Amino acid sequence: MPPNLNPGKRAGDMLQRKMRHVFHTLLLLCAPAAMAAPFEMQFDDVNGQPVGGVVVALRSVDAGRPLARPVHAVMDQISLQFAPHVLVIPVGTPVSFPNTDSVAHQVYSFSPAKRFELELYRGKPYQPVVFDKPGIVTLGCNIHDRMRAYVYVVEAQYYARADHEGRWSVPDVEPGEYTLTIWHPLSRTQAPVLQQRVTIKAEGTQLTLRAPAQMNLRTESKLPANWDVY
Amino acid sequence: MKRSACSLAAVLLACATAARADVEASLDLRLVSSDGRDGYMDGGLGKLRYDGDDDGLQLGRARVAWRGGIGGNWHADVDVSAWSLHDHNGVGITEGFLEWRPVPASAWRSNLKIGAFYPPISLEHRTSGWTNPYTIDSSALNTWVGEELRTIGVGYQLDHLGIADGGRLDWGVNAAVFGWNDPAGVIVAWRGFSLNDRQTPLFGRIGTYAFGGRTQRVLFSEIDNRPGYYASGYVKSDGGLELRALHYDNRADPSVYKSSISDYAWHTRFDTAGARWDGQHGTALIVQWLDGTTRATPYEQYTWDFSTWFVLAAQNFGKHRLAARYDRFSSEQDTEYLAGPGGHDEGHALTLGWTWDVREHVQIAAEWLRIDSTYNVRTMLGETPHAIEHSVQLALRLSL
Repeated sequence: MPPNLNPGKRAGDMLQRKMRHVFHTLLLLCAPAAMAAPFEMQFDDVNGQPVGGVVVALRSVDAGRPLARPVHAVMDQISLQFAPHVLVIPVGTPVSFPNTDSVAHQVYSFSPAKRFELELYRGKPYQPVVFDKPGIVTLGCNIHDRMRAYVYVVEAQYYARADHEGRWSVPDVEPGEYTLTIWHPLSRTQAPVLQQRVTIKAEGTQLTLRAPAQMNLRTESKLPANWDVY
Repeated sequence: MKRSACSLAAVLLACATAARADVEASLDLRLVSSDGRDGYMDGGLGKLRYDGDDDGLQLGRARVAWRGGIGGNWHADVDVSAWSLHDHNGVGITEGFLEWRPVPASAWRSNLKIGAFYPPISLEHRTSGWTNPYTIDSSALNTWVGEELRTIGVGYQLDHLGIADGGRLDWGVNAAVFGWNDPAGVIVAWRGFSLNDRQTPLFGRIGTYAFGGRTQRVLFSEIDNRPGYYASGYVKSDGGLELRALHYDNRADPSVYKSSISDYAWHTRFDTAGARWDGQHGTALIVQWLDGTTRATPYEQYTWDFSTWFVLAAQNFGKHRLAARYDRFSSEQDTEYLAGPGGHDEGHALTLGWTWDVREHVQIAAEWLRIDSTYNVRTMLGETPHAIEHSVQLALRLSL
């Protein structure tokens, strides 16, 4: 399993997961039962080994269908690390950047999908930053170069980070045709590692997906983030 | 000079405390057992920081540092340490500088430092306070950097943060112009290399062999009013490999003598290069090399060539880290201009280190070090030229 890919353990992920659960529950309450079908998937590499921590999005091919609505997300800074390491949010989501550490941080991104800078700070002095364009945003801290995190801003009806076994399940997908996109946070390119059409049937759908080729992944060392200040 | 150092410290301290500064404080206590010859701090030619008379409890280092934003893109940084209760320098500043560090708006980032700071040479010193997370004592190469080198001037670095931009490499170039580094070279010439962890404080002193009754050398002084420079570059891959190279020339005029410190300017030039690799399972490999020459006085016979390299391997096991390092070093008076043999110091060392992050704010480190060296000048002290010295240290490190 690649390092730093522990989606379930990060506070921000937990919050995101809880909020999505509430959102899904509300959807279930509102929608007729026949409209929702379970979807389960498993992502493996080209050799059939499970790949954990991938980012998954399901977007309806029906352009008229509304996209997932923005949520409120949190990217914390704990023990000189961003938490979570990878955040998946729908377009338009405001993300707050509290600094739980006792030392000051200076968060920035120069990714085209979102350029911003939060001047040196502690605590929670800033308004949330709204991620208003789809794309992959690399976050850094100008004081601690080893701090790095990724925000996936998606335009989709359903989205998530798969668990550490590469599994993702949604109980209530509206049946229909979708484009399924999978990114790997350690991929050396911003391109998805897989993109394909899938049909979600009314009785539910289970898929095992395999990467079409060997993924070209970075190795991320587990060095403490306060190293390499010289 | 001391006055200007104090003023610099006062300004930096005031800046740092006025702003929202981060404060670091740490204490390193040692239990030492050594069979070393009389150490360099006591005027001897031993290679160890702690010689045979220093067995028992020692203060390794007490340190306080401030870092903080002082407005705009400027930060202030000051690092203050005490190395021993018996050290001539008592409490001293190892680094103090102002840094202009704007947030990058693209993959290009600029960084300007003004003050006193380390040149980007060591691949061992990765943690704050210019500390080495692998072993208690540093390699011969980086020990020398900590003893004799400091950039007292202006340094500029340009980085290309290609990895954050979706690429595979980060790279950068760095250049500095500095003064007050004219004595650099005197220690490696007269004493030879050493392996220790004491850094010479700014405008501080270090013990050396007491020729002519001078028991201490002043290391940071401007003697000839000619600035020196260095230029360097690095490349980092997203696979954990980093390469660095640097060329240094203090451009000192060796014929200029400064009576207030009883020393000539030492014209020191060297090249250094290194590679470091961090694996994703906690493995680290470091190799560094340095080769240079230094000359003082108007006479060419006072020219030394020095050279050193080391290789270090380390592995993390949870909260424990084991490291092993092998060093080779030599410092030799250039015989081209001498009637007889000149000073010639040569040797090698093996260091085994263990660190244990007991819990937050508490670390325990242990080290076994063996240095095998031959220095013909030891005969002038009534000693044999060849010495095999050992030390075993256990350190308790507490930090804020």
